[in-house]
Amino acid sequence: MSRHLTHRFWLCFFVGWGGMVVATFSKSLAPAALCAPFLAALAVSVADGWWPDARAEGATVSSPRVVEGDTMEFSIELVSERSVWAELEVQFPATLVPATSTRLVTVVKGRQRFAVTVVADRWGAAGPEWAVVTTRDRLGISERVARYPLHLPVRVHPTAEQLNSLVPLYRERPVTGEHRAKSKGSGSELAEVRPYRFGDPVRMIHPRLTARRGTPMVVERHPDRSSDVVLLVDSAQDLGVNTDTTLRWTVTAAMALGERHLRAQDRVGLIDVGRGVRWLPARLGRRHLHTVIDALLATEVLPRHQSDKGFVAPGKLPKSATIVAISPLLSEITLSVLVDLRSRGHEILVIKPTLPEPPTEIGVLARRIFRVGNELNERWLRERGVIVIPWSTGDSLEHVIRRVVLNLGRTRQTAS
Amino acid sequence: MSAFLDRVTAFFARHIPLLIDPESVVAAFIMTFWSVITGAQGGWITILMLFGSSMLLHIVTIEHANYVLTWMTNSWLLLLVVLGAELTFDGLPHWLLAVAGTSVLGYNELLRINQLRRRNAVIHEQVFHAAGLAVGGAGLLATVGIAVAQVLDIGGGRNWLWLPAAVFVLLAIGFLLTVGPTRGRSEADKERWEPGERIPPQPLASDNLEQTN
Repeated sequence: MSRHLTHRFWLCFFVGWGGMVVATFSKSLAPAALCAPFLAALAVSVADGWWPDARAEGATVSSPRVVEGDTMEFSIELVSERSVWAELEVQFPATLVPATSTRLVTVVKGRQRFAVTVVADRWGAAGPEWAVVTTRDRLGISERVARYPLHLPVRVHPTAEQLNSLVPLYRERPVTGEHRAKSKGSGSELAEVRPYRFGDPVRMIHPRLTARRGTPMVVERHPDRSSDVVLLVDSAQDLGVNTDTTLRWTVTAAMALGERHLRAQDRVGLIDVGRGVRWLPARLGRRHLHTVIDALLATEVLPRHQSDKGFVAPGKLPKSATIVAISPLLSEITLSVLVDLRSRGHEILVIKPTLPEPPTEIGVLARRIFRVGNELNERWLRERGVIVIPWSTGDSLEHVIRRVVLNLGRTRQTAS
Repeated sequence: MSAFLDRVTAFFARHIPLLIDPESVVAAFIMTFWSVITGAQGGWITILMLFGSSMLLHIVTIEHANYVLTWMTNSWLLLLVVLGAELTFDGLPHWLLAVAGTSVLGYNELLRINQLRRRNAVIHEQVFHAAGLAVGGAGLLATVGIAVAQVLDIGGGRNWLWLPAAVFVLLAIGFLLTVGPTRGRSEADKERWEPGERIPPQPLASDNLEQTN
């Protein structure tokens, strides 16, 4: 909060004072008469009271979670015990674009509500930032400026698709889930039909098959199991414009995968590689889904420092976790983290969103160098046993996951 | 050429609404009135020159919304009033001079309201009433005061410095009583929020994320 006198004070003061000085030296009332209104303005402002007080409170948003393109209403109250000339300005982050005016100039007495319609233009986690209330006396001679931080997080979700397929588990956990286990036992998916063997429980005998074949038959099923999936999000760079950016596609894919795997009773963790490495431990449940989504929405490209290290503490990742990285494979820190994790024996799958077309101003040679560098990064990872699946961002993520299922099956067969 | 035309169109699209707002039109009328009155003594050429330069200053001030320019425009208007009163009317009654001074104060107030319109602000009607009342009140106080001084014949030969000195003392006492315990002006200015300036956002969310470094 700051209080000061405006330039109008000095205007009135100098003009009024100057008129009186000239009147004194010229021994005439005329200059004093001409400038008297300015001195009278000072007197009126003093009588009105300098630095009147008004505050902003009761800030609300109509919806704390919206989807890109949605409209919501932000409202705030100006409060003052006595009649005060007040100006209120609300500041929004770049992701929220005001559709109506964000400034109000009014004379407030009691409470006055001010509403702003806002369009959620881009995904992210950022609400209205500040309300700045400027109060003045009626002649604008004294001014009081107060800033009120607004702690109103608004989560703008990108439009993400619903997935049906799951990334195949690497090592199963002995907890019921939606993945088909390699072993046989009680479950819902048929594994095989075979004759009854000594030692099988009698209740495993299938009566209708036994009746049809004339010999005791047993139906075996795959148990449904769950696993650990760790999503690795590359926030080291964001290429592209508007909504067609690599980071947006990365976050969209991570949200869809996280939501699907948590629905399948998998434990989901999150690693954010950008400025250093941050992570969320793998956990289960709806509450954790909200935590993961909030963390993903808060992802942004931050400037890096020398001290930032690309390193994930070994104890933080479950041994059985399948790591699904979504990355354009451009950042060195991401590549080093992926190779580090691979060298520790984790199965790593990289979904690589299509890179947007570079601007036309960039020369052919520069484009070629960029493309070759990117392909070399990809090949370097493949040589170290990392599976890289390109994702043409116009296509459905569902197709990509189906290709992942095929690729992983093939890779695991080769490995075994 | 088309780029230039686009820029010209954009310029007018941005500034014309500010120039045709009611308060801007009234302010332009005050400026025109005094430039015509002042120029009347010298003929059409003088009127046109004064009118042209006054309007130019008025438009530039409205466009820039800058307080230095506001000061300059006000000083120019005050000069026009002084010259008009002396040259055209050969001296006005003192109470009419106070009214003329009020018109300059009113002009300044109109510019201030026009500047508040920047960045698409919503201005409630009470603001205009309050501003009108305040300027009217100050003008009435000054006019009545001067009229009383004239009627009581306490005009020339007096030391009028006692009046601003008294106002100065009053303001100094008010300033000490209200601002004394708070911060100095320089510090307040340093932290002052400039209209249109973006304040960097505070770190949000991701509190759940652990960090290695």
